[in-house]
Amino acid sequence: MIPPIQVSASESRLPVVNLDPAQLEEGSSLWADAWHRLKKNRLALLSFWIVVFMGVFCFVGPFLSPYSYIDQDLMRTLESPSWAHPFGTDDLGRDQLTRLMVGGRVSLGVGIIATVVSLMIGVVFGAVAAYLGGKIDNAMMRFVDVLYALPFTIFVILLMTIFERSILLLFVVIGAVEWLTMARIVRGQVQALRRQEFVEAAISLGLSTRRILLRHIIPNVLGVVVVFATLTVPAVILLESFLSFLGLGVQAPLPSWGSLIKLGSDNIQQFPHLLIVPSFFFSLTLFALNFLGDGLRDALDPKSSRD
Amino acid sequence: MPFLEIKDLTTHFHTRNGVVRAVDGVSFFLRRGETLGIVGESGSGKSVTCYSMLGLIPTPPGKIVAGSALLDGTTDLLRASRKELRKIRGKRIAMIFQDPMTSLNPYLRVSTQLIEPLQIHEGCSKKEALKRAVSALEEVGITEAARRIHAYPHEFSGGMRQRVMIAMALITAPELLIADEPTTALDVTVQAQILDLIRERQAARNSALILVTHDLGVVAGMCDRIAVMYAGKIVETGTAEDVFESPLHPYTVALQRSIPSLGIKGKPLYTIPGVPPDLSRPIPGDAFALRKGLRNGGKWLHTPPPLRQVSETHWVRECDVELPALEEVKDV
Repeated sequence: MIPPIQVSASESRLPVVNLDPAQLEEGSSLWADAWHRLKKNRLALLSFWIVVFMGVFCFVGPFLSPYSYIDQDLMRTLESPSWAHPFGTDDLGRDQLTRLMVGGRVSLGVGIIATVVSLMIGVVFGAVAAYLGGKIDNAMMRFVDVLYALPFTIFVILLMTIFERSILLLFVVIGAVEWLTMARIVRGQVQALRRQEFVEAAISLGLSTRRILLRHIIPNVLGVVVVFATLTVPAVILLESFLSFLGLGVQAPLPSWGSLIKLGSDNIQQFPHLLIVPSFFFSLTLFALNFLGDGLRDALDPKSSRD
Repeated sequence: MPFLEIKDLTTHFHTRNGVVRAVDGVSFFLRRGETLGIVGESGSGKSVTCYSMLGLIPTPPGKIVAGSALLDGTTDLLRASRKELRKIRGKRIAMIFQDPMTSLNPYLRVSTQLIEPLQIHEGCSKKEALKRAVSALEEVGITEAARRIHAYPHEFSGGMRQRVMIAMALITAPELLIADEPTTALDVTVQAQILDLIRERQAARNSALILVTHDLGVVAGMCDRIAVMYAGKIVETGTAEDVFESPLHPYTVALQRSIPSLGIKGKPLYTIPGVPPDLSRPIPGDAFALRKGLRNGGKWLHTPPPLRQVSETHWVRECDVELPALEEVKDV
């Protein structure tokens, strides 16, 4: 007698079956699938929750804090961590925790908004240029080259002097620079894709150029785009701190992670916690974003294994 | 009036090495529900002919230089606006591509891709389209279609993907189906199934079919009429019977001989001597005679040989190669 083969629950599952019945009727979106796959990548999931935590910490935290980021207490400057001030106080006696949260708000805000702006402009610009090709492509990419050639710092100083200095302008300026690289990356990807047979098949089915670009080509470049976007967020945060350092970024009482780290590095001998704490939050966020991007790339590829 | 009439179609590609005359004055017609086989070697212009009809030639480098392609005697496909063409593609004329592994978008579920033609051309709701897509999949022999329709292309085998492509092409019941080497990329065992399926679905929907292939064996059982192409030109055309029973052009004969048969074991397979000519240089005379050692006469050295009508249905191009020449160079 041949003994019956024991099949464990996980082995007996066919790849196609592990969608729940509701999805079978409707078919789920790319993002729902991606989330489904992301959940299986522990590191990426942890990173995801760290990013979520940072978001909540920075955007909700300040409302719960008894201090405001501008409240000075000159009697208690440069204090070590205590129950009243968990991360101590800075050189003007302001609560470091509150400033850390507000600073994160600025840094993450610049990072995410500028990245999203650069993403949207860059993806659409690059995809259109590559898909249309020929002279249009040439003209569009030469425009990018010209912008690339502009010295960034001068560009920022120029804009900052012409217009009122504001955080909004900071977002715009950084976004306006970051999309160039994105456009180049996407263009390269799309150039390879547009000659693929499935694009021809889509044309032969009577799809419009717009629909082919948006529904067939862009999903194919999302993996690369997401990875690049998660690398852009830290780059933008660094850029912001560089601008703040030059006095071109956020205005003085408003902190950002960059300016907090700057303050910490000035006092590294006597008060190392002023450097360590913001650096830790900053690095943790960057790590989490990188791992999340990596996980997202895998999750967005339907070919990556489902288990 | 024929359903589709192609006249003097000429498509050039402008490359660094010069102008490639991929299709050079091709004319043929197709009646409703009829099957036409276009046969020829790689690079003979058979695919480009089909791509030209649907406006799929990438321009630049490609350009349709001359000709007309009348659909129903009214719409010229070569001169139709983008918008008109979009309404015809996928609705009245659909295409099946050579490689099913790359002709489905890897990032989209099969369902998403299948319902697209219905959404675009018939304004179907998603639910309605999905229902029809499932039955279209069942028609092409995919079991458990309701479940599998939501899978991604990579979860299907090559043969299955080609079935999906067929379902996708036929979902709007087009009047003309163009199959560009639909079995070349598939396993031999699957080829016959796919061909049977195309034939069956074509019959069920009474669509006309243009079957592009380099395998004469494939067209033999399927086509009403056959056009043999060489170096961008049609060298022989006629009913399947004409071309198979009494081939007149030496190239057709040579092609026929290159079909592997189950007959005699141990005999080397016939190959046509020489290589196809370089189309980026103008060929003034008979292109087939340019193959190594085949020229046998100098009538068409400088003027292009014309098509000669043999019977009511059968045309053959004049030629500088005589049939025995094919035998003589066999051992070269």
